Amino acid sequence: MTDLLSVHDVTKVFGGVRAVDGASLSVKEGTITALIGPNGSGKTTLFNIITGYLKADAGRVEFSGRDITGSDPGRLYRQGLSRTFQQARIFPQLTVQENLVVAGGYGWRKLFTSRVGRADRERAASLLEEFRLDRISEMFASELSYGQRKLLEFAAVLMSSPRLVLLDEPTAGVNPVLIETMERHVRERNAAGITFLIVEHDMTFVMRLCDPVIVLDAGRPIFAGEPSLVQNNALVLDAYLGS
Amino acid sequence: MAPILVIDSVVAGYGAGDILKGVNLSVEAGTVTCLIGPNGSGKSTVLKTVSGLLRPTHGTVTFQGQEINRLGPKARLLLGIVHVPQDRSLFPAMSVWDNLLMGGYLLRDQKLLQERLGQAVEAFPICKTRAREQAGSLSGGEQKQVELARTLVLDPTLILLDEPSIGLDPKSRQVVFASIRTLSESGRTVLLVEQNARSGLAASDMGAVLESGLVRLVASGASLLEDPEVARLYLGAGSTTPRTTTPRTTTATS
Repeated sequence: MTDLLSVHDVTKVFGGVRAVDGASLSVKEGTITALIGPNGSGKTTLFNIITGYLKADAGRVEFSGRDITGSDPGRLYRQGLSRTFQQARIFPQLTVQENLVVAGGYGWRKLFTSRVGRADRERAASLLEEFRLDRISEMFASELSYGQRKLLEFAAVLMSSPRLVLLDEPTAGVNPVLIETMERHVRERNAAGITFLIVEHDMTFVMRLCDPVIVLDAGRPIFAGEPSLVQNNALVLDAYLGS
Repeated sequence: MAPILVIDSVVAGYGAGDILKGVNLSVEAGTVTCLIGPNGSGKSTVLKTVSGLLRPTHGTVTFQGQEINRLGPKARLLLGIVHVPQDRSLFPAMSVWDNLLMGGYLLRDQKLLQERLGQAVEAFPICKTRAREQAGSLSGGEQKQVELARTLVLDPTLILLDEPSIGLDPKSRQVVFASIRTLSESGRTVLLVEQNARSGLAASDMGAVLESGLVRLVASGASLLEDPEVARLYLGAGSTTPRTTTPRTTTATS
């Protein structure tokens, strides 16, 4: 399998802290890859560099064989690289439903017309129902709770058809039952050809869904391999999982 | 013994509609109670009606026998009710020690302040060992410990915790749930909201299930964990041991 994403010797320093310290890793096309590690190990910083929200001090990022180092997020999104955030980023002044319309790639003018395609309308309706957002679909997104925002952002990603999706702690604040629904959607979209890179602390979710698992500590990978090997790795136990 | 906190038929919301539709809940002094339930069921809103960030439109909140509906957040704070919100609430650019001092902002008595700071440090030594470091440079779990220590400076009677384990790595989660027991063992009452429901219930004496703005079920934390119906509706299948085999055959690691 070919590398869809590869990160070469990336470094990012904040003040005196080396948040990412010469990190190299790759994500193979068609996988659901996990990126785990302690709080402060550089996972989100790495996500921000890959998706163009931060500029690396050194190093290179390649997506689908092209050098994308320093590209802006909008351009990368149009090239098929999509992401979610720890603190869900949604459009607070749009309704729940309108957020999905925009995520489906429709321009804002379409919000005021009925020209949203039937397939997209059905997809949006079923996502809203599955994530229990259907009864509040007319509410402004700003009125949602933390967990509901995370669900809406996740649903929004499922409205588009990217090549690579980066999820930053998708299950944080989400009810355990809906975590299973999320898991099913990731599997389905993965079967349809979408590659995932997931930052997550819920180890049951990671172990059930992801392969391989990359472990980051102090700004660089200390392990990459099958989930079953991660659990027994002494370095990982010490740095991340604890007793 | 009379409960320390009684929430009686509380209705509350943010304008568009009622989130809480008549919540009833009693909390015994010195216990840890965990609120669980679906996203949007009103768990955080319950905490806000207790700390005074939100006023109920109907019903009453009674604390130590006194109805506190009309009291603002500051007055409730002085009664001993503290609220640790969901997001990280330390001032990231300030030192750990200065953050701890902010907890005593309302205290005018310097001697009392020193005494309380001593108690906070005793329960959470990190406040001393990392005192001079910028709070923002601590890991998520370490920051949560400082937040909990900061609440102790006010010598609270009732501590409200909104998803204390959110965004924390597994090691830090263990630390935070152990810290909740520390708070409880010092005689304080804890009411927490937790989506990490299994760990939350395991650390609690009592559990309450909130759904669509109503408390549907109250029982001991242990019995909720064992209830198959509760597991199916609210806890998910997360209890099963993680799969150790590769879940899919389409991936290969080199």
